[in-house]
Amino acid sequence: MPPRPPVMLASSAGFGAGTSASDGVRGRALATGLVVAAVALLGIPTFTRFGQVFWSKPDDTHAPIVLIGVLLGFWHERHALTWETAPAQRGVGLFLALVGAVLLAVGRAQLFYQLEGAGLLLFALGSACAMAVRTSWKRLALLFALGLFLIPLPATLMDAALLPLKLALTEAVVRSLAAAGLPVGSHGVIISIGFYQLQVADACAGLRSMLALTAIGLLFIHFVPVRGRHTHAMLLALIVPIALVANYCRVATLVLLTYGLGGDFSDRAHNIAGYAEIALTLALFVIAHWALERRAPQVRP
Amino acid sequence: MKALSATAVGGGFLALALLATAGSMALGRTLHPAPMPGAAALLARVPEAFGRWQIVPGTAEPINPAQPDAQGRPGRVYDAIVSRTYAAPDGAQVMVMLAYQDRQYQEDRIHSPELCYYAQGFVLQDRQDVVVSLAGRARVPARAFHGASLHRHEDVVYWIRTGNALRADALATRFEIFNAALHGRIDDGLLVRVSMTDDLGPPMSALARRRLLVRFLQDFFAASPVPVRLALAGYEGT
Repeated sequence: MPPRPPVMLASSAGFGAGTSASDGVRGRALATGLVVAAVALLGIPTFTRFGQVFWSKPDDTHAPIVLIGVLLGFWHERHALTWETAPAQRGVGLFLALVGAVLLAVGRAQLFYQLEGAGLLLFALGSACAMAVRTSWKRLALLFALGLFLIPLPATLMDAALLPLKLALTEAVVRSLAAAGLPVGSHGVIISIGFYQLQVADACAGLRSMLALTAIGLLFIHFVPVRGRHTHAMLLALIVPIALVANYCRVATLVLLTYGLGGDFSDRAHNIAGYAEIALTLALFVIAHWALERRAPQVRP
Repeated sequence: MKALSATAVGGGFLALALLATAGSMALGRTLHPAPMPGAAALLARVPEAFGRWQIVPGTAEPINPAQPDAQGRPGRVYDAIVSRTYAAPDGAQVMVMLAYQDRQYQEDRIHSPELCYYAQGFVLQDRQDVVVSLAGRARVPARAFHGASLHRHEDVVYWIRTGNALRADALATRFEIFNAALHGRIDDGLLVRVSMTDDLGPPMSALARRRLLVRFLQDFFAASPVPVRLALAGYEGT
């Protein structure tokens, strides 16, 4: 395999006409095809592995949805990837991709998933840098920021960083259900209800899903046209509260189901809860958007 | 710069992608695991008795070193687990847990007991870095904490060996694993954990229990046969 790439480089450099103005429509289309092939060649194995190792766990089922969202986002922005770029910019893009490729190769060989993911993202960033006109950079930056959500965070870091949030959420669920007269109590992350004990492990509190829900909020803002800066800012500010509310509903529902139906839940119940959570998040965004848009004419000067 | 035409640059990206794919395969082939042969049998050779301590059937169930996943199943499989309870004449009991994994990866490795205890409903208090001086010259960076749950209060001291390195800090362990792989090694790993609950033996302050555990580790190590010592602390510790 190694001898092939230089051949391709040489042949394409042979008929390539040089500066950005003289690439020609067909040359640019071919170049785009090559870049898409390159990103797919690296991305498909990486995301397949992430899918097997991380996203098949019940608390991470959101990540594929974020991936689809990001891919749709790039499709949406495809008109920005025109190759109307200066040679210097292309050089920088190639350099970024080189660094990304090295990180990816080392990370993949070591099963160091974060390094592999970061390398892939850097590679994609490099290719976008080579192709995209400057005016589109801001919009593409959001997509790359979303891409960060696709890199699985180290489990230990997640637990350490999100521990207080998890405890607070457990506490909120238990207090509100106890106020409603249910026999609920908690200690640490263990919720006891009736005769059952529930562990608010990652699946229930789904704080990993907090991140994914935040990403979904960002995607909503990316895709849904928003009138006015004020509305935009309000929606951004609402991302985290909405994700928290959705999470709260998920934990409370699972606790109530345990109380009503007994202790054993299948993976499917957790998965359904995960998807319901996404639907709830989107519904809350639609409502918030609608409410803000209605108010918007009064707010704007 | 003629060389930077769109097609040439596009080809460059594809070339990089091919090289990265081939490179990761080649790098993967250079990695060699170095597991300890017969780990379970070897670790079982811990001393039956030393000082005032003697192995007894434990009265308290030790905390599983595997952090259960969302459905409560053990999330991680160890290649060998040796669990013993030692009792002193005054009624004090110390639980020893040795958990071995023959390959350490960034996301699949022995993780800190803090996580296991936390995931099993303990609230962690008084986390502290302690140094355990072993017979000979090694000073092992270990960690101590107190776990409090509804039904159980437990003091814990542990260290983790990765290859020949002794670390209690997760970030340092990550770096160690990364560095080992760059040198072509996939290291093995061992968790060395001792703990005692507060309901057995004479009443003691938490600090006294912590001191007792450190002392216990030193004596336990000194009383172990050389192969077990190597397993516990690597070459650095023996």
